Amino acid sequence: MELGYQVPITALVLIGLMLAFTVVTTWMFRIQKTSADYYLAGRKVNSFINASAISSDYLSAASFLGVAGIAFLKGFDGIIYAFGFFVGYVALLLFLASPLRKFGKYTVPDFVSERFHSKTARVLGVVGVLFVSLFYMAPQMLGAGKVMGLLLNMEYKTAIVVIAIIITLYVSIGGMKGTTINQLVQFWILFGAMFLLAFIPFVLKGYTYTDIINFLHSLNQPEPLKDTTFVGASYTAPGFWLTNLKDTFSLLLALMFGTAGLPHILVRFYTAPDGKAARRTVIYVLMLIGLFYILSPYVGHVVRYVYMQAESLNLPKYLTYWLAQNGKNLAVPVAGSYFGGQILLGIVVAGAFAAILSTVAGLIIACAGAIGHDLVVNIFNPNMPEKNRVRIARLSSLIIGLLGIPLGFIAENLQIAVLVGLAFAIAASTFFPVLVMGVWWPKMTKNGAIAGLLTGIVGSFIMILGKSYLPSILQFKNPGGFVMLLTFLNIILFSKLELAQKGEKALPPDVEEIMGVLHGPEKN
Amino acid sequence: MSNVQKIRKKQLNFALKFGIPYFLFVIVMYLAVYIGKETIIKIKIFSLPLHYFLVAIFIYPLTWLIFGFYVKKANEMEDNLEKIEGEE
Repeated sequence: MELGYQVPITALVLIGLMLAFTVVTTWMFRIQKTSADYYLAGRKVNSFINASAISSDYLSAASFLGVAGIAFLKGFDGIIYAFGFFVGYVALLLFLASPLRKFGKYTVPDFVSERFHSKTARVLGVVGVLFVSLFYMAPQMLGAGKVMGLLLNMEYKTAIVVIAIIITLYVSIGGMKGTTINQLVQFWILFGAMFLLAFIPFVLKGYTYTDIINFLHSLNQPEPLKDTTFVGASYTAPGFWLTNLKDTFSLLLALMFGTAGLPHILVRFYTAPDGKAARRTVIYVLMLIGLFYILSPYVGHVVRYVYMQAESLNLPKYLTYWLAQNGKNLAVPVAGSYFGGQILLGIVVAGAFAAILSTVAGLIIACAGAIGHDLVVNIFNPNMPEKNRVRIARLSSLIIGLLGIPLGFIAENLQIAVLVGLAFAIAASTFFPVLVMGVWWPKMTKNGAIAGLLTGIVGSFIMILGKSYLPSILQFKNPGGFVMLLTFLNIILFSKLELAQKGEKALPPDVEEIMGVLHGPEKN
Repeated sequence: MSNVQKIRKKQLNFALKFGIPYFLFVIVMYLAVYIGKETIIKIKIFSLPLHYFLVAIFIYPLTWLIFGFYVKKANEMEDNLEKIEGEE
């Protein structure tokens, strides 16, 4: 721990209150009669609560700390993350939210399996959910260990074990109901923290976006505690980090459509009472995360402004050191400490803690659904009594949650950027095209669905892990958008081929009925 | 064509009517900022450089307005589905 840093009392108080609230809600919601209660909170979640919970599910530590952090580090180019993450929800709103809710099942693999009557599609769906969710969980656990360990003065492994045990207990006992209420509170803590981080410099200090950008644009000087020179004109212009158009385009598509294919977000639309509520939920989510994404790049730029004038603005030495060493993860805590002392730093630490808890909780529920509901119940024992299904759901959550511990331990030695890239690439190229085509194209066949799922999963692995063996034209910053186009093509090609071979028999016999459920009026 | 197919097509056309122009605008705007950066960085709106204005601020209220309207209309369409079903 660097000299000058003390764990803020506010952080301990807020985290203590958050945990006390978690214990109460988990106790209140400990009784789950059916698996729909456990996985989907009885499908009765009000739109605004659901929107807060989805936003909290989505605003992970990577968003809470990372979006401002990447703006601090890469300037204008870093804003692509906020932009892409936000726009992705429009695709969800237009094509998936309402039909998925109307379909009324439990998980994403449920949809592909029941739409095409295929166990193979269900198993591939489960594989996709596990890959996306576990690859996404790894950086969360890394953040828990590194950042929370630093801010709460804990060892890396201790922080991971403590956080994993807390989340696992409340998810496995409280199910989706308990998780939703906790995510609601966690969202407002992390949103409140980001709001204060922007409010204080903007309103109280008078640092307008324009002034900050104009000042940074004019700078050309060495960076504090580093051997590099900061060139403000490049930092505030497009192309400082995203140097070629192909990479910019591929990253943008992966962020946009990866968001629309994340299983832990998709599954939340099943919790809405009906299709119309699912749509309303997305518009609330767009407002909440939109506000968050306006604020966080601004905060990143403000921290850069303070850092570049560290001496004249009296930025403490240890905070300057934090920014020089790990600005990507620590720009937000530095802003908290600089603008609001120990109190605001405490709120920021509590916000980061909330972001980790809420996202990992969502990922555990999505994985537990894939294992407990899709594999154990639907593949191995479809006649399992309801009471046992709830037990299986709890057990699956427990296993996945505790798996977070070894995952966190090995994450320290893994290339996290590769894992996150894979998570977004698979989500964009597997679930998004298969669900969109499955929902809107009645002529899609079982072979088309299987080909789509395989293309997305295998294609993403090949293009990321085998990147160096590919010709330069096929090397992307994130290949999600490119593989997604291939998946769309393969779905059409394999469906047409099957239709040409078997005629109308290639289509599921109940396709008209399913289209009626997805698009017709809801029968209450 | 069955009623279900009519409803599906109507909903799809409605979603595409909003989705295609929006995504085209978003992608073209973002790439245009990179392609035309020499010109764009010199333009200011409300004294903010145009690229920051478009990508960091403007896209958010624009999206809220367009899709707030979309949700209102889509949910109204949903309310009218039973009428469409009974048309034949």
